[in-house]
Amino acid sequence: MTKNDFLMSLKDKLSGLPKDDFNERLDFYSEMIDDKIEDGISEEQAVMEIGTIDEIFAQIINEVPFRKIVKEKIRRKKKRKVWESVLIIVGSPVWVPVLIAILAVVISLYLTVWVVLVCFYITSISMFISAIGGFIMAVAQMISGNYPIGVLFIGAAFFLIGLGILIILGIRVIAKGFLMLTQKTVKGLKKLLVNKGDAQ
Amino acid sequence: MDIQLKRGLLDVCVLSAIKDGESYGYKIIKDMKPYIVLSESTLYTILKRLETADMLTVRIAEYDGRLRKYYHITNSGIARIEEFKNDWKEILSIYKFVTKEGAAND
Repeated sequence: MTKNDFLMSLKDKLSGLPKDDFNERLDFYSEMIDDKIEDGISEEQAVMEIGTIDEIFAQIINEVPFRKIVKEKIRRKKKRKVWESVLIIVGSPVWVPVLIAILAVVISLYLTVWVVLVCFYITSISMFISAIGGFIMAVAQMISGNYPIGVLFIGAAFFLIGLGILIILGIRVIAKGFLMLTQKTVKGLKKLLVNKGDAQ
Repeated sequence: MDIQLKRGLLDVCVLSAIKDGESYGYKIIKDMKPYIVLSESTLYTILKRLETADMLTVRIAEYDGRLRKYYHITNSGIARIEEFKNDWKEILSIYKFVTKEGAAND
């Protein structure tokens, strides 16, 4: 691919973003390619060494905050035709509450997952506390001579400790996984928004 | 390697490449090549980050009919290199200890 084709395709793919987010980077690549060519590397090779268009697209998207992408989309939408704007405003008593409702449901579902995780965590803490109580009871029983019951309490206390640890370990894994899922979703959304942008 | 660690290390590498005098994109990559391979995209991100942190300044000059950006280290940048060297003196002695222990057990 020639340098210009490469830069053009990249600009095209990034057309959903505000110019200042990628113009500087493209200038940087352009300078780099020119220097490589001057150093004896072929134009094709120089372009290839930068990376594929998709890779660079992903890198740039990664660095732009989600809010900016959304802002840019909204800014673009202002260029729409008059009748579209009228329709949106007129229909707003309908779609605004619906949108708010949908967002509220999505957000509360998301938060619910975290709340459930926290509940499990609290449960395991209470198991540890109960285990302490179990040990105290065990000591009390031992003192009054009820050794079998004391041993039972010790066993129960250890059981609770073990269960508490298992729960905490499980929660940590799930929380990490869920967090990564969230990040991946945000990345995917960013890509989706920017891609739809170049249809404007 | 830990991503944060590598990031910090690459930052210092780039600073070192411009320590003795200003340099430009491609030359920085070439100078670093015998030691570590750096992609253009990574370098761009690093240079941007260092500029925001005031560890280097940028100047645009004409070269051969086109524009080229030259990067110049600042005092903060030099201080960062010194900080790195001091940190790693300690890490090196720890490494010596760790590898010495292993040899003694062989």
